[in-house]
Amino acid sequence: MNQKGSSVGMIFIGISILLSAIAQLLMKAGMLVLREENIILVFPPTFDEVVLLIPAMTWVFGGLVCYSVSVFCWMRALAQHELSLAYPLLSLSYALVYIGAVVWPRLNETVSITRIVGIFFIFLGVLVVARSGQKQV
Amino acid sequence: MDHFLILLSLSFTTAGQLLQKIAATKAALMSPEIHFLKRLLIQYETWWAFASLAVGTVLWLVILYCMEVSKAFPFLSIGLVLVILVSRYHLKEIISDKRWIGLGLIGTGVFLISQS
Repeated sequence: MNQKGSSVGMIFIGISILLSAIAQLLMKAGMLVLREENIILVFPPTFDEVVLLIPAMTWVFGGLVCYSVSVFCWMRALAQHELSLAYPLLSLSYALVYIGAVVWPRLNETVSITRIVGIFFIFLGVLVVARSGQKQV
Repeated sequence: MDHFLILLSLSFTTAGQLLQKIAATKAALMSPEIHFLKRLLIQYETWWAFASLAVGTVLWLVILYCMEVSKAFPFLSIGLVLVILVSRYHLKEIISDKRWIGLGLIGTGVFLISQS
């Protein structure tokens, strides 16, 4: 595989990481809507209860769509890259989820020094792994 | 019991990654005239991968329901170790010193995030 094929693989890894982080945030937002409206899940739900669920489920559904696309991008990336190169890079999505949860007012999670240091370590490690050779398979 | 469930969940997720990798490698070797998505979906490993990831995810949700997130989260770095071991010993990938250093940094970072 040539250099061009390799960088295309890296773009797919990037898209996949970004989409899986967005998916997590959207699902979390959906679950928050459920909690804020004090909706208690009972089975089987009545029609009115299903209608109440729609706003929350829209968020969750958006998250699931992002997740499905990210799985496809992931496998497209794995077609070109070693698992031991690609998988560690996926940890970047934990860092992105934390950053997203802090800056997105809807989630508004608290900042902590330990987390910031943790995110810094992940960024550093991802940088080192990404530059640890582009051996093609 | 909690730790057993966590290891079980991580094993399914790791198997899912391995199967995804095998399916993707097979698909990459097929004729480029067929759309990549189609090449993926005809590999039986793809479907085992999806099943494995689904079981791993459901188990993970059970774990999150039973225990605090902060207690469950550090185990995600063990998942990283499992995937690297599988890459090294099953897929015979060569892991350079530089990659080991990067892995150490990422593992530390995931652990720190889980501590807060």
